[in-house]
Amino acid sequence: MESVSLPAPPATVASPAVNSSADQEFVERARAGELGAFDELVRRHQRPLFGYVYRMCGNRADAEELVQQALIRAWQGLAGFRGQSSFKTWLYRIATNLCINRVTRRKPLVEIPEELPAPQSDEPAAVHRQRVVDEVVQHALDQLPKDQRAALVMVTYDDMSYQEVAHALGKTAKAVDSLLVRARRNLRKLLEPAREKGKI
Amino acid sequence: MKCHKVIDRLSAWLDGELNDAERAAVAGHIEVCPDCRRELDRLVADRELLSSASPAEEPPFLAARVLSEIRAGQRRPAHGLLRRVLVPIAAALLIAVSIGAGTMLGAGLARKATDSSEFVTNADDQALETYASLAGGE
Repeated sequence: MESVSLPAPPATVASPAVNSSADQEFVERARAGELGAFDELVRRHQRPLFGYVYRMCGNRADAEELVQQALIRAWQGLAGFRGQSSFKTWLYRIATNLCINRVTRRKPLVEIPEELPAPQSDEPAAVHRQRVVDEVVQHALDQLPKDQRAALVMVTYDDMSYQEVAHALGKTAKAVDSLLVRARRNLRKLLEPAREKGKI
Repeated sequence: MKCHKVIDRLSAWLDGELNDAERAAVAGHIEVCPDCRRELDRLVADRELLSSASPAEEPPFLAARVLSEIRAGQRRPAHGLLRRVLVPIAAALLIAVSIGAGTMLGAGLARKATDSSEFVTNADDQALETYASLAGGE
């Protein structure tokens, strides 16, 4: 029999990129009204949070507005943050609610458009390929139901555990597990046309 | 473990969310089942494709803008409270007082209407002026 090399799964669940115990100190100081401490929290989380919201809403202008709203709401709601989840997952929960409320209508599952971006004049092949990948990926994410998209983005780009995603989405870890199985099945269908054309 | 159960666990496998027993069962099955192995390969390829998308970097001065908004809000908390709570209450009270005054004046005028039509005209003007002065201001 042909020997197989399995992709090595992580032995333990992924840890968040930002140290949540260090966050806690800043959270306490910010709750006491120290704006400088909140500034530090914003600087620690703004990049992953922006990336998450961008992939959720698909454009930079909306992402910028929603991230600002999320951070201001976090400041206003700090008194109610009890620390039962990490500051990061609490922040993602605020941002997720804003993203979901932004467009409540659920988009139908449609395929990647026939026309993929053509190379621009004098665009290097590698740059064009990256642009195609970016557009195909974002288009596929845009077509996923929002809860599936949120879960998939959090585990793929933020290395969040199912428990963390569950806190951020207000679901159980088991529900997140099922959500991700469905998200990946849908994603496969959405990526298939671009794959068949050899674009990705 | 049967194929359909393995396939449902491959997503959690990729994310490192299986316990030791599940992980061993899935690994054992994949070693001997080419179909499930192919399914895993596809999932890995999809994950790699997503990961290869360019990172989205936050716009410059995002943190500074957020802090600036918060500071601006902190400088005028009373104004915010006034706008949201006190103004609607004051407006409601003014309307109630205006309606009450108008009703009372109207009733008084009706009682005196039989005595003097000229007085009614003057009183109506006065009532309208009173009503206008009560209703017009905030």
